[in-house]
Amino acid sequence: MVGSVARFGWPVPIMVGADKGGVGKTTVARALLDYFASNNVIARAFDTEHPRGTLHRFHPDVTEVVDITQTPDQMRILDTLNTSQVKVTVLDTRAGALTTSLAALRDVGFLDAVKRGEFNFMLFHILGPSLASLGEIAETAPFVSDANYFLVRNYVNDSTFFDWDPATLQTYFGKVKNASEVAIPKLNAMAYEQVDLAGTPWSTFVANKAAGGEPAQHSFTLRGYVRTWQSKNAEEFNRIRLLDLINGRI
Amino acid sequence: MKNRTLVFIVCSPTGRVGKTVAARLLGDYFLLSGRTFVGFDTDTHEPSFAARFPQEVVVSDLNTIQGQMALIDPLLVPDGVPKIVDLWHRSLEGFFTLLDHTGFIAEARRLAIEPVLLYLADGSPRSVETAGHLAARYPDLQIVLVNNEGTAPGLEEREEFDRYPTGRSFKIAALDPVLRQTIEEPGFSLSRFMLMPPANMSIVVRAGLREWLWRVFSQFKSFELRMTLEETEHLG
Repeated sequence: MVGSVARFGWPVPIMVGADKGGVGKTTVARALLDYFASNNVIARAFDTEHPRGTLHRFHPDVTEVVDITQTPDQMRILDTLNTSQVKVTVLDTRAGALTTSLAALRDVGFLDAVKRGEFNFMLFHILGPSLASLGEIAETAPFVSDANYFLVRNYVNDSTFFDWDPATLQTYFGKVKNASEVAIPKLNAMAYEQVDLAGTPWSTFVANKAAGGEPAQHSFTLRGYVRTWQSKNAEEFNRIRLLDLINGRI
Repeated sequence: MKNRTLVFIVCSPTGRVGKTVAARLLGDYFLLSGRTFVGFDTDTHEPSFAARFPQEVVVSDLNTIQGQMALIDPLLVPDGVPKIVDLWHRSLEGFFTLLDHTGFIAEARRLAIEPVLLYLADGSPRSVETAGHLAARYPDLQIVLVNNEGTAPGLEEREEFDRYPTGRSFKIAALDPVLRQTIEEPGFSLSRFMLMPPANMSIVVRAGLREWLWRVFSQFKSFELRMTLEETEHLG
């Protein structure tokens, strides 16, 4: 990586994606946005689930809904990476569109710019609970040799994640340099649902506030579950030294 | 002065040591002193605490998230009304895990809610060990031993008693079998008995029961007074 020297204002595009649907990409994107907010890192987000925008529903203040396959929208994202006052840009890719999005980014020269060290590109690749995910890694890896590549096992809604066979895992991991693992722990289903209904960031729910900032009447038990879950996420993001990474200190 | 809200958690890792009797005595103590309380029974199979106080006590199944919410959320209402949890020994670990997962202790502190553990001691190695673990896990939590001489006779004289990690204890005297039978009758209320003993009751039973209850209630009273005193010292 080029960033061995701390570089102030080095733009950090963070892509969150998977080729499989329903693995909780948006959940992870929301966890990242919350983590950044609680650490005073200003971030903006693009929701490529055009036109619906799930991420936009939870973080409307910082999220724009875009269609990443359309040139005007690509320009809105990429051309502002350098000029925006906001250092961190989270891209929540549409279900099943990780490889195509990466291909699109390659075609517009973005990945080359990453290689030249213009952007501090990170990819959070959300893995589903099946072996198919491992195939995705092989497809994705060639695109991200210059990125910080995180393989995310998302347990949030699923307690029956298959047990990874260490040998199988090793053959896939061997293909990817710079890949590290992140685990998002399980969150109680009812707590998850209630936050979903509330349509607010996790931390707003924990603070017992509604979307507009007015007091809400959320159950303490559920808020407690969410808070514990958030702090486990924060531990995990601290473990991979995410803040150091985005500040180019690693 | 804003009153603290007391949350009594009556517990032990073993069954049949008199948890429900202790919870019941406490509940009747509040009723007798003209106050009310809110109670919780986590034994879904045989909720005998709830059966004693159908008005005040609800059954909560800690195995479901709904049951957890029905217990934890009301415990954190700082309304000055005492709460009493009769913790089934099988839900002991689940309950404390739940406290950890929800950040209960910190939230209680913030709301001036004071959890008090009423720990039924029986002198068994498991009982001593669990009490030690709980004291280490929650260093700020007040633990009061309950020494039920009916279920654990002579415990105070045994060396195991000194191995429990606490300074305070309540003593519930052993009850004569006849008196015991009286209070175990369904529908027999200790507080109603104190206010207005049934006219047809033997004077011997009446005197014995009154004596037994006063000895317990006076300990509760002095505990409350001590708590108030400490609170005042904090302020001064």
